[in-house]
Amino acid sequence: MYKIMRLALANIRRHKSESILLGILIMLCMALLGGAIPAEKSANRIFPELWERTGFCKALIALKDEVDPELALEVLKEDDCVEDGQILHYLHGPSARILDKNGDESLFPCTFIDVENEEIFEDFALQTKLTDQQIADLEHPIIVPLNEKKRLELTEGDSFSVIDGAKRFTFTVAGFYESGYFYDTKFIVSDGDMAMLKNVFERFTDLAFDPKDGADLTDISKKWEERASALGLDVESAACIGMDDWSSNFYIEIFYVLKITEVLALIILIAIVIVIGFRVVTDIKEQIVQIGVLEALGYRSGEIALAYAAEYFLITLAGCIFGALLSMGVFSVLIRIFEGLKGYPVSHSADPLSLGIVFAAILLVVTLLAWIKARSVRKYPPVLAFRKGIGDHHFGKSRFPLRNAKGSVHLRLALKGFSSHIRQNIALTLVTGVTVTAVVLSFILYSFMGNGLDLAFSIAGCEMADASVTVMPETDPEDFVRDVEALPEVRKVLPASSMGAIFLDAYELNDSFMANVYADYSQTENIHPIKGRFPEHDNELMITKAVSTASDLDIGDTLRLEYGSIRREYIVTGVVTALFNSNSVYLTEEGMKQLDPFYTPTEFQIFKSEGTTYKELKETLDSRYGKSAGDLGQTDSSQGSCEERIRKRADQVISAMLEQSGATHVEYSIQVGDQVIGGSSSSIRIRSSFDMIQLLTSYMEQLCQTVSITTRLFMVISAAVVMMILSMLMSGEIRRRRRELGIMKGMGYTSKELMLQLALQIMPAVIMATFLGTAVSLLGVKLIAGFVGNIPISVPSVLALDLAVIAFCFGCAYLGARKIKKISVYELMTE
Amino acid sequence: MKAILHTEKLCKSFSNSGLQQHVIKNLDLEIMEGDFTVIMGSSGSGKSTLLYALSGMDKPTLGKVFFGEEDISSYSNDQLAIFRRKHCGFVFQSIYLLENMDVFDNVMTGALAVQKNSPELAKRAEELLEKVGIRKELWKKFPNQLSGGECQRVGIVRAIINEPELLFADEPTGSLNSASGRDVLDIFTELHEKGQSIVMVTHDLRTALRGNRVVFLRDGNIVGEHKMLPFGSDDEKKRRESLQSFLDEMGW
Repeated sequence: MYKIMRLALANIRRHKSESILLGILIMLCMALLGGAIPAEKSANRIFPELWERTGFCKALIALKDEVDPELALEVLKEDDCVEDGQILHYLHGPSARILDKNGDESLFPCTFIDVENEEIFEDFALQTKLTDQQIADLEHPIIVPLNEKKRLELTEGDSFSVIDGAKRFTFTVAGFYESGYFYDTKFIVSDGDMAMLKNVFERFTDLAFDPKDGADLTDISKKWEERASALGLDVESAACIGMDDWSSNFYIEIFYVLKITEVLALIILIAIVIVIGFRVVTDIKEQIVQIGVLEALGYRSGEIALAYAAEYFLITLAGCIFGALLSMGVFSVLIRIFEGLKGYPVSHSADPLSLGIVFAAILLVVTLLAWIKARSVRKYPPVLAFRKGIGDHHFGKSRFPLRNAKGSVHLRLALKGFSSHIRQNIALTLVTGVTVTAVVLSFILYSFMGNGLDLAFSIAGCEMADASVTVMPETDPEDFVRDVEALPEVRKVLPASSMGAIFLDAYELNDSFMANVYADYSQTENIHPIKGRFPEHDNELMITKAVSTASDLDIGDTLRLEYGSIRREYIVTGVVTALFNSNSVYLTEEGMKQLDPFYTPTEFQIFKSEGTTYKELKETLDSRYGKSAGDLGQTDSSQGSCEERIRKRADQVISAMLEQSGATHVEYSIQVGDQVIGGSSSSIRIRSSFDMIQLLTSYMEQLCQTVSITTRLFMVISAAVVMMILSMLMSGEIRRRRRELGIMKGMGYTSKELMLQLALQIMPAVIMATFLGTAVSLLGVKLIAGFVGNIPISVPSVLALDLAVIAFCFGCAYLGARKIKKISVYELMTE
Repeated sequence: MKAILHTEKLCKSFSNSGLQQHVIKNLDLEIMEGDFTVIMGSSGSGKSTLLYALSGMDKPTLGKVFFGEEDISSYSNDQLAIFRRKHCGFVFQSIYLLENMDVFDNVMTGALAVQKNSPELAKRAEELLEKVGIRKELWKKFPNQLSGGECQRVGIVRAIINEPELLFADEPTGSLNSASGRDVLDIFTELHEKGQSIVMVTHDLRTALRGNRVVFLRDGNIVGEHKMLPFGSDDEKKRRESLQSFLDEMGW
């Protein structure tokens, strides 16, 4: 063993810089895997620990309006497997928006609940700096979940508004509480505000309970359904949800970050494996005479092979030790990212077992591979080894002859070099291909998700117009579209219904779906079916992927919907990914009229012309149609003459009535002395308007930042890996061709010319690898597109990137070959 | 005759584990245009080191090497490479053909370092190969398919294809049998007769006889010099005896 280790150490000393680079690659791989795997374990604990801390109920059964909750609860409690069964009431606003204290508006699906019901949900404990009296003095107090405190930058006493449709409610923060994860943010409001919000948001009644340990939720639900049905309760297909359902939504961003880290580590590992295979073969060829000498001295080929394995074992061991230390840093960074993403604390502790497994796996893979490759020394008995094997002997045809060669002699010589080492170039193509794939894929992901909008547009599942305008009910939609489309600032107007204006009851599924209605889906720009096609006829609809999964519906299936008292059947024609309002269906206008014969769109999605800003568009709309009801509510009524102030105040009242009380027409008449001041809402044509892009951007901010940082990091690390690998390959190439390069130098070729030849020599492999890597990346993108919808790929950008990658590889190879400069020609030739 | 190359106080030393080994010590030497200079000396006397320092293959530690009026000892490595390809040709004992190239490409690689590819260049390579006795059927063979003598003849063609002003040879017959060695030396003689300046290192008497000037080196210094008439212009026996007596005097 001692003599094997001595040989191994001698080899490491011989190729110090290459061994260090290889060690760094192994360290990177170990650090990423060693950080990501324990981080995944910690991330998986966030959810159960949160449940433990908050005492959040473990399961809910959603009841239909007509079901008697008391009776339903009694039936549930009959089950021995059920604990703490209680009735729960809350309000839900899936299309709500929030106007934060800075005046920025963003999508913010949320739930409202009072304290009494919150205590049924979980162990409520208020955290506040305000006194009881101060809280009691607040007009509209609201208690915000702690995990939203940082995201919304709120503190006690701050105000923010929640908007739904054209209705706006302003609250003041009374304090915070730790909340378990629900579908969306759960705000606690006063009883009075609950009563007011009931007019706007949908009311839900659930049965909350905890299944006993080991009890199966599906069994409980099934038994309850059977017994309740027997009592005449309408509980057909009642939705029973538990922790698993919530957790599947919870981990999306975390999963993304983790998978990117793990894939990167695996790419590095593949690159290491290929490089080591290449290096062992090069080393054996280079040291063939010494191998012959060792064999002549009595060393067995198995021992020599073991020495090579030991060399890589030692390098890997060192890389893994440093990598394990670095992995703690990677682990901490990942935990911080998770905490930032979710707003919940992540408990983390050292996980020596996972780290040990990763450590041992990398060590085993690398050593085993080196040993397998090194076993080729058996092919060289001493006599053959002294003659440098048969591999160095050239026979046959000379490729790329220099006679009558056109163009650069360096290119010609590089091509000769490339054709002389085909096997090594295959390895080079593979290793470059793997790393280039990582660079190209991360670039496409970055360019696609970097600013978040393209991603959002592709997976939002709703049309992303520049502005969304809701008009007063008496407005004729066709006239309005014609009128607005005539404006130079407007490119297109789509009448629609979305953003939670209509909910359809899927009575057989005991669920309700938000309706998206468009006259012609081919006119939409951001709704992309990932499967099937758009609905075209009045008996067709498209569903979201979430609906497809939850309700087990696919293309060709029938979905029965109810609106008012009308029931209709629709055939599913397509599936679409929906980032917001995942419980949605997509119908044509004619399809919607099957359920509501008087349906007319009141929402208009406006696409601005090239070069027009949202502000300019809004100003044009305001000057043409007057201020919207929402904007009138914000006017200052303390300035101007008495009449002006009265009119402004009247506008505010009209605005509040239209927005909050659902009034459709308001008239007023006020007598001041002898003067009668009158007016009505008939001058108001626009109920509300908002900037959809800004709304979406703010909602997507966190995910986009994560995606942007991770893909950029991915690109940088991949580029660094390419650089290290090419540097190692060049060092190996110079070692192997030392004598040949020395002769060339002796003939008068300068170091720079030889560096150019060496760099050009790997270019065919790099070019092949780049296009191969791009093809693989595009396939990967196509796979991802299957999940998220359309991923736009800019062909010129990808081609430009390919050229940049090729230039980068050339630069790395050229600089990697600079070692040749340091070696004197005499030394090179005679070594 | 003017000096094509001369040195001033040329020193070359190597250090190994902190120990300095001075191989060439304050050496002054002139190489005259058209001369066939032979450098002789015992093993370790610094013959090859001197040859490589003169030819710009290696840089001197101290002192200067002038090619004409140009001090090449101050050149960078790349400048030296350009100097070598423009002005020098090399023939080595180990031949140093490129193993992955056939005979013709080995010759062309040397030529293309200086000139652009042209039909004339290929024609010149063909003529020279034929002249040194490398038959056409060998042109597409790789070095490992040739005999040592054939390889050395290819090496000579590679060295002279650019018509260098100076041809350096380091023990060119050292690895050849006597018949092949004689053929190679005949080529050198023929080149010298046509005016080629040659500097050759050897420790073989028969090889040294081909020169017209023998410089003897001991411990990195020139300790003696012997001038002769060009090979073939005098009686070979007398020539041998006079050289032998010079070498005996030098303690060879």
